[in-house]
Amino acid sequence: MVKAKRLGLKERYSLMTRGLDWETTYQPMDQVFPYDKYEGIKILDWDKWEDPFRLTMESYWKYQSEKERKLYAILDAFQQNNGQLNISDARYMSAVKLWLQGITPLEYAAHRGFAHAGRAFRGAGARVACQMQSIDELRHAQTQLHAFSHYNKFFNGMHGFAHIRDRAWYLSIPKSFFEDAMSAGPFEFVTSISFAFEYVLTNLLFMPFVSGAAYNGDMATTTFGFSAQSDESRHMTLGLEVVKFMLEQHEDNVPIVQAWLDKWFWRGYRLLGLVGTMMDYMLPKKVMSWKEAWEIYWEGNGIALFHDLNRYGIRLPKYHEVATKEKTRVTHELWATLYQYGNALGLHTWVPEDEELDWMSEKYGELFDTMYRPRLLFMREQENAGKRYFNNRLPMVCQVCQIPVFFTEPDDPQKICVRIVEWADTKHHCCSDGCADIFNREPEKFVQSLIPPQQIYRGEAGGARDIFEYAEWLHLKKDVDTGEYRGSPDHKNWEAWRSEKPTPQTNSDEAA
Amino acid sequence: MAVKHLGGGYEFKSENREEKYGGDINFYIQWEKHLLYSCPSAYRAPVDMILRDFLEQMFKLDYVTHPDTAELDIETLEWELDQKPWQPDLDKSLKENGIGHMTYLQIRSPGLNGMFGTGI
Repeated sequence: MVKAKRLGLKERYSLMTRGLDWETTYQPMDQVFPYDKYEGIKILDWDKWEDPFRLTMESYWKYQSEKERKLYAILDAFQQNNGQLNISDARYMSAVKLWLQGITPLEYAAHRGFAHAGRAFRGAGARVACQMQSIDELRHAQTQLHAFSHYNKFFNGMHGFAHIRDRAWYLSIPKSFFEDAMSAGPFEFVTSISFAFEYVLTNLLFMPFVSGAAYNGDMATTTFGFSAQSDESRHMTLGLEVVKFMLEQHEDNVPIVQAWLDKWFWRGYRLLGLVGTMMDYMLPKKVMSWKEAWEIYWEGNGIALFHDLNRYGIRLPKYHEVATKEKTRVTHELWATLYQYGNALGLHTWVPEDEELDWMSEKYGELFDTMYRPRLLFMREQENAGKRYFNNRLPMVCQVCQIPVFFTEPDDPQKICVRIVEWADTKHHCCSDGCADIFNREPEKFVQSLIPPQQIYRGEAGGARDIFEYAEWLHLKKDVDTGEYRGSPDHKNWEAWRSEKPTPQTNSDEAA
Repeated sequence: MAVKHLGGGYEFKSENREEKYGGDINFYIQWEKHLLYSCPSAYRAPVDMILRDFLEQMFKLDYVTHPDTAELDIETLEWELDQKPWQPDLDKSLKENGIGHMTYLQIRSPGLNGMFGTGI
């Protein structure tokens, strides 16, 4: 008897994605896969789909379980050794809180989105890639929650991340980003998340956060970040593959893909403003400035990538030059906004220390010195005089990106940029030409946006009438979860732990 | 352009339509060159509120931290309504002045151009 030769990984992948798939006969294929044609994308031959990773389920389980065993071993050690005491400063926790509240729910949303896309494509190769990514994203949500959960025992504002995800004004920014993608067709979904976000912009999200965690002594997050890295490189490859596949399959796909790239570049860039602000302001030990990151990852790598796509007829995304003009401003404008609306934030804000201001002067130059530094110093004066500045009046919010309208005109940093758009006799406001274009392309979609200040004024936020009642509806405790860092329980605990060591007290000890 | 969709129609009313405000309106105002307040502010107010009352009793209180607010003379303001030059009558109501649901007002205060010479 001849023993059957064991199949290689490549052959097993080929069987899974080609040999095991079939054309349905009891039901027409268009009814089995109802979602993959209506967007207008034409696919002539699904077998041309090339997945460079060619991973089978068997090997997927094997790799991932090995990785998770290592991750959880390190997380255990981190907890047992009171790793929370090794971070650079308790102000760093605002970055972790923002990630937990804003980004971890996106991992879960991505899990749902890819599960849907993994059912929607009639090509088995694309289905398998999406299914694996769906599982990746669920694991990322879980491992992040585990990594962060230890901090929740010691710091405020992390207790209701799932509750405020659906309620908080600043979290409607990432939430609406993903819901826009998930409510589109499967091709737009993978273009938006896999390509625009994970391929083009991912370095601006992941690199600063993971290096920022390492610089600031946050071993839990650093370990998670490295564990996720091999998945992220697979996701990036999927993003590039899906875009090249669409562009190679039919020339009619080119203008559709271009419109999606225009839209999702801009939406992704707007979302990354939160990450840039984290880099410049929330990391007590700085890695690099937002401006530097933008220059390396977009002006260098991103633009080069689009030049490569030029042979398919793809041009640079619309308004990329506006994003580049904003690189010296956006993080300072956003931090001032978070600072003043701090009474409804589940993280702390503050005026940076002098040496941090000097770092910003060095990185951002004249504009920082003439506009943003004096504004921060004014805020510090107010605080020192016992009048910490808050703006308790609700802001205008962009109908598309859902960010409060603080961005300034591309060529005038002293003038707030507002674009009025109209649909069916109702006016709406956008923060930029980029967002106004997105609105005007699909107005019927964006008139449905739930904009938090409007929701509050309509009485639909638990009946809250002002920012303080609204914060209660978010389950945020005034000046404990919200507001100024200096003098907060997080600050006081941190000082006490650092001076006393070795046994940290928990929040429940403090309440007792 | 329109939304591509499956099935029959794709029609939805605006989430923030006026009828949800029980006779009030939602409108916005921004004081140019006062970027300590980094966004236009959003309001809900009755349509028959007198514009002067709105400015004295709501707007000024919201901007109280800015040193220019104490010196602000509302008689000399230069106005825009939905980004077009416009002149209101401060003693008439919002409605009589033509301020409606989702109107965007901008004001400039001659001589008061914010702090630090950079419109803060």
